Amino acid sequence: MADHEHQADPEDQTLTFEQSLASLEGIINQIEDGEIGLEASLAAYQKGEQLIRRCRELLFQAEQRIETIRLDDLPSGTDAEERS
Amino acid sequence: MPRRSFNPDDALGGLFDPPAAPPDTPADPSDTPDPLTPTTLNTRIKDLLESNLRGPIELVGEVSNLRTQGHWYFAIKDETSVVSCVMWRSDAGRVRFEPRNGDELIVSGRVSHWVPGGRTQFYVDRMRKRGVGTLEEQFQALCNELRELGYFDEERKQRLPAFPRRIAVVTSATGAAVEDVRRTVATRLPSVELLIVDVRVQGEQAAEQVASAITRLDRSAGSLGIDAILVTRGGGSREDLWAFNERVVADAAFACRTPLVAAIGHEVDTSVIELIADHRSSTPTQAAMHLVPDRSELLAQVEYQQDRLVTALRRRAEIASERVERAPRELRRAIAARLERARTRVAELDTVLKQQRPSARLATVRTRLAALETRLRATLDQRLATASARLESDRLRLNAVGPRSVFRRGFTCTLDDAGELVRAADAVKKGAPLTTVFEDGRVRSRVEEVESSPPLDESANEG
Repeated sequence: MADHEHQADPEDQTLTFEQSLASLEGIINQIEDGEIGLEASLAAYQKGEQLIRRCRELLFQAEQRIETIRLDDLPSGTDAEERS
Repeated sequence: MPRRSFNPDDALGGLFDPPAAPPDTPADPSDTPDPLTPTTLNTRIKDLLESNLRGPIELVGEVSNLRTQGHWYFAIKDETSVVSCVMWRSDAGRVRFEPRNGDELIVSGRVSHWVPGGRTQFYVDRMRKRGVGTLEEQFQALCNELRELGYFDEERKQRLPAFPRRIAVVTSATGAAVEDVRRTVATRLPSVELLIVDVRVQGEQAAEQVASAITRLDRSAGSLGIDAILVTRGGGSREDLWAFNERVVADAAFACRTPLVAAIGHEVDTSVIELIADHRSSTPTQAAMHLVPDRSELLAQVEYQQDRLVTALRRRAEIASERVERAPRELRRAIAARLERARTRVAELDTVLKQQRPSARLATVRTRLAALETRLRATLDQRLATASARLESDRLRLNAVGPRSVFRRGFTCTLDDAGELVRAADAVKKGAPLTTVFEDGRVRSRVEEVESSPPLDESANEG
């Protein structure tokens, strides 16, 4: 199960909901298809549970973050320009 | 559309009541006047209007903001100004066509000032059509041009993010739209962040500001962490929403590579930006609902995957345990099958072996040997018999011609001292020993004389 690029680290706090869900689906497919052995399946299952927790965390984040800015406060250059 | 605090009955009363005598008109203009009450001021305005702008008046312009339930309320406008109009149900009932926003009409009636509301209005009693109004024409012309340029092409529309993290909202920070969006996002999925860009959404500079906001957000979408841009404002008249039909906004929306959603005014209003945006919603709330997934839907997705995960593992474990349970039986079956195969092989080999057994081979050889022996014997016997017969006949023939019978007839033969047969006279020399052989014995003698004589003829030899 080394070369599954869609497998993300469930501990990764920057993981988005979509990434978590995609990774979870990848894990389930592996277990369903019998691609991996029983022990690897158990490890994958634990990872899947972590991803589910991550998804729930993202869904139940309660505080609403709203920022209001004036037009003039928006950067006028492009991302590329700002990086350089 | 915010309901205006307009009561036609009040207005009607205001219009048809005779102007009350102003109770607080100062008797002497040089005196410091008492402050006016709103009622007083509005009543004076009304009187001034009605005395100076006597009807009927004809007004030409484009209809907008038309509401035709009961009494008709609408506005007649040109590019720079607008007049609020009201047409009582009884008058409206006599109109023989259905006016629509954008129609250019000539209406006739009188101007008055509605005292309770403090508003100057045009009271229409008749109307007629005068073709399509200019704003509508402008809108249609721009739509045609942009359609030609591919601004409305469905193929260039992008998919919206399934799970946006941060959405930029281009709207007035003080408008109703922003609150609708905020509330909808809070209800559906509060973790979605909002970046509200405060712009003018109507009047001067509105189009330029909206366009600039779109362009700047799009350029910095990466660094701002923005997944989508929502351009929105609540309902309003056609001219209120006009900024969103301006070319500068259309160009910004067309160039925008960040997924763009537009919700301008109400369902019935169509603006150019909505035709260009990747998605169009009828209201700010609808737009927020479309952009932000519902937590319960996502939760259902997560739960579905959770079920799948549990089922997959259980199934995996079941398969493994079934295999463990089946193992002894399979092992027995495998061993039995193997045994059976071995047995078959042994039987096969046995047959082969029996055919190859030494005794069997010996018997075969013996049989062949016996046959060969018989044949050999028969051949030998035959050949022996043949040989015997030949021998007998040869013996008989030999007897018939043999030297004994010749000797018996009187012939002799002469041998030299080496025992060789002497066949000619000149083969012997004088004095040489000779042996003469007879039938009954031998005579030794010496040669006295050798005489050559002509060979004896056959007859002489025989005698």
